Amino acid sequence: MLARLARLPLLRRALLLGPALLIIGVFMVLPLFLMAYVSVLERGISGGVQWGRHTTEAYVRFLFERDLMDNLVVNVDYLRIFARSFTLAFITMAVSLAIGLPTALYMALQPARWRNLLIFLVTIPFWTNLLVRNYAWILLLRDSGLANGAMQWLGLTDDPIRLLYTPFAVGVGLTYSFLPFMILPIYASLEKLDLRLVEAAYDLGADKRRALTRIVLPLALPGIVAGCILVFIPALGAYITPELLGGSRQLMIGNLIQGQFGAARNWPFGAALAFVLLTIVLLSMMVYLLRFRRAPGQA
Amino acid sequence: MRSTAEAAIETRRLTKVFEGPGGGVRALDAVDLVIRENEFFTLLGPSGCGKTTLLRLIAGFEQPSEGELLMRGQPIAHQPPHRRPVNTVFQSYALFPHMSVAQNIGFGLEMQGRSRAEIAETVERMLALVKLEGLGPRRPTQLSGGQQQRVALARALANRPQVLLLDEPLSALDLKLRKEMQIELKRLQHETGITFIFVTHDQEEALTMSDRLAVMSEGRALQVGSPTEIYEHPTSRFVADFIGETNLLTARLSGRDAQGVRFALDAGGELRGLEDGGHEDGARVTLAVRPERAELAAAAAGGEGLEARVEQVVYFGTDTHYHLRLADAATPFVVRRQNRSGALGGFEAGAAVSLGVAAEAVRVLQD
Amino acid sequence: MFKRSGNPLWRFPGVAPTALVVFAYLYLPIVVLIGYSFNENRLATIWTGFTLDWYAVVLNNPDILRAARNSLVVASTATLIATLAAIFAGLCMTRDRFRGQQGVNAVVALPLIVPEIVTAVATLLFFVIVGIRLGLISVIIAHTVFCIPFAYLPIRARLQGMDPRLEEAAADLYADPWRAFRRVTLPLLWPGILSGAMLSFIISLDTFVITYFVAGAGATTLPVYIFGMIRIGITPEVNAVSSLMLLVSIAFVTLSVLIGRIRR
Repeated sequence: MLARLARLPLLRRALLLGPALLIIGVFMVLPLFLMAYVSVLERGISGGVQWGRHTTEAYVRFLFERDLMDNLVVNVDYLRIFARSFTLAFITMAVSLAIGLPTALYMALQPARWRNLLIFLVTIPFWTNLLVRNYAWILLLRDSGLANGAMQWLGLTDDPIRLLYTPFAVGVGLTYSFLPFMILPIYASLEKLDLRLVEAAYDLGADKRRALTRIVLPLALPGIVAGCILVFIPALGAYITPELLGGSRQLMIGNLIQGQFGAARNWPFGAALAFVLLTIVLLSMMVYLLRFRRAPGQA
Repeated sequence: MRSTAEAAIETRRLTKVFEGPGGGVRALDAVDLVIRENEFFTLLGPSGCGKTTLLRLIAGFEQPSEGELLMRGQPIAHQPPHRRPVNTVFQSYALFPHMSVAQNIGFGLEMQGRSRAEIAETVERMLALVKLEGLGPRRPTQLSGGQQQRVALARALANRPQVLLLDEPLSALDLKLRKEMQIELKRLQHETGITFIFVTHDQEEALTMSDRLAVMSEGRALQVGSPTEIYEHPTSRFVADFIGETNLLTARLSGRDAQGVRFALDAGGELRGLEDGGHEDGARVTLAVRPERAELAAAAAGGEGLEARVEQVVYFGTDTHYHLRLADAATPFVVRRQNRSGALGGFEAGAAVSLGVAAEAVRVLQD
Repeated sequence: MFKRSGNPLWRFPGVAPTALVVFAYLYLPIVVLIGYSFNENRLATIWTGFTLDWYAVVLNNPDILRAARNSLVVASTATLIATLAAIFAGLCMTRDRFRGQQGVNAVVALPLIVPEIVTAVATLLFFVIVGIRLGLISVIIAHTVFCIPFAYLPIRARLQGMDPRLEEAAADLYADPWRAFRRVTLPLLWPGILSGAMLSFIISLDTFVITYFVAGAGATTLPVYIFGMIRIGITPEVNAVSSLMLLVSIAFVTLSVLIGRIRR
């Protein structure tokens, strides 16, 4: 009888898709809506929320603060953190692109045997623990770390330079964390490139630079755009890297949000910040999908 | 009225519509077909004509949108494929790559719960039948295309189905192998007595192998009959054109008399035929004449044949094709002549000739 | 692309050196970290000698062992559930055509798109509000959610790569749907399932942010524990346990790739 039932297409689909959709629906989609709702609730006395008391205080707090007479005064602190996050994410994306693109190009030009090995080598960091990888940078960048040690040994400096807990450290850490996300999509695009097109360009008088800029890069554009998105978005919402390498002065959005659920105990504000971040990410994804992928499912 | 209980497969107004953006596709349009027991039946037509769809409906991989599908008188349209006593030889063979050849062949029997001994014995018999003895333990990927094809055949035949469906099984083989397999398949069908339903787009294949065939186009079965009937008496332009080469002449039915029906050709001149194709006097008709049924003679004034001029002579070794233009200097006509006495006795390009077509050779098309 | 290396036409200036630098950049920290884990010296940076002592300390630390056990329990359970869900979903999406498939793809991809911190916050709020106690169960639930897409992708790829005629052939040969699945689909799908399960396992092991938010007391996983250790201070034990995590991840990825190569 089960077999007969299982032939009803609708029931079959519901049963097969059910587990995955239910799990993600109940434990992810629902919580996201809940989070949006929490962001318009009033903050509880000692953390938590007050149900039924609605307010837009959380969003107001983002831009303003109340002075002693309860007037709204512009507060740029949070804006600064957002600006820093955007800047860092953008720089990370730019640097990743600058060094990732040539790397992907190099990989694509290797014979097949080497290519698989190189892909494997690029992929491994992607699958290892982000926390551990960023921790390694603490070892490298701190005052008694390898970087300073090397510079002192080379005679470039006598005293250790402060490298850790600077924007520089966070940038290095972010780039390190997400570089594979830039390299792999660009490589995928380049791999599909028909080299004969470049040969045709040479044949028609283009030099190497022209061949690169007029043929190779435009055809690799889908991969480049994908890579940029895949680096920018996680960098924007990063938590581990600024936490480990940035110290308390280099707060990014991620740390700010976490703080609201830790010491600051302002859940609605935390939820509001998270919601704003989510909106930015979803909007970027929609723009990307609409502009750069004509039909879903086409690379 | 033939009793349909004899029919291995019968379709009544069988229709299949595939949903899609911008309206559906009518892959099959009200097809009525009767396929008899122990027949080698071919579905012939160009790609997209619906022959594969019909096969898949019989196998059970698709459900009909309208109409009935009967097997030995019993409706089977809503039976799932694993319950139909039908087996398929797929175009891509679809051999299970993770099983050996022997396991592939024995799969159907295993599913039916036969004993190990019986399965092993049948597998051996099948391997011998398709001349692949000793290859039982091999994996399909280790075999050549021709060998894989025979495994697919054995796998299907091992189950002694009532009907065997073959979906263009020879299309991936090279010419020589193809010809061999055509003979093999014919022999197998004869030996086993199983009804074979064979799908192909190759009309030569269809003519050589079938007991009967159906010419299909755009979801419809245009004509059903034996190879001779189809070839000699095509009823429509499409069939006449699809099977072999044909000369098509437009004419008007100008009269009837004791010797037959007279047709006034648009290209000038007159031809006699034995049938009227269901047309009335004065009707416009299309006549079909096979190139090998026409005679050429040197032009003689006042002779019986049609006036024509040789435009091109193409030598084929076994025969010669003469490309003519009829009296109006526009209508083409091809005559095929066997080179009985070598290349002698032919005509040259530019020669004026007399074209003779016997009345029996004139086919009047119904459309 | 064809094999062109060696031909000067294809040597673009600066490309090879950059690639070299990038690979060095990617692996330097890993190498340094593993290197220091063997350093005898407590004051990490100066090398004084090779030792396995720190590993011994780590492997005898009951807190670390408990955290590792929690990590394994969470990863195994989440992987099991996620892989099953992914198999069912994959079967439906690749063997059927219906409207709303794009929507399903979007939902399954959602855990990959939403930033981890946002997911962490939302999940925490959900558990607190609904009243689910924060503990190992909450972590398992949270991990299962994002393990699903990681298990799903290799499984779906493998299903799509399979000739659909094979399942038709099985049905044609009298196998009912369940037996066709067991005898034909499943054996051919198996490498994809293994691959998906391993990826899911690694991802779960490595996840920090979400676990940090939704783990209750006693549900500490290894990454969360390491974070705590780093907060306290840099010690060689941290190097050792971090190196262990690295090596485990690398081993798993390598295995997964090798499995993916079988029966291509």
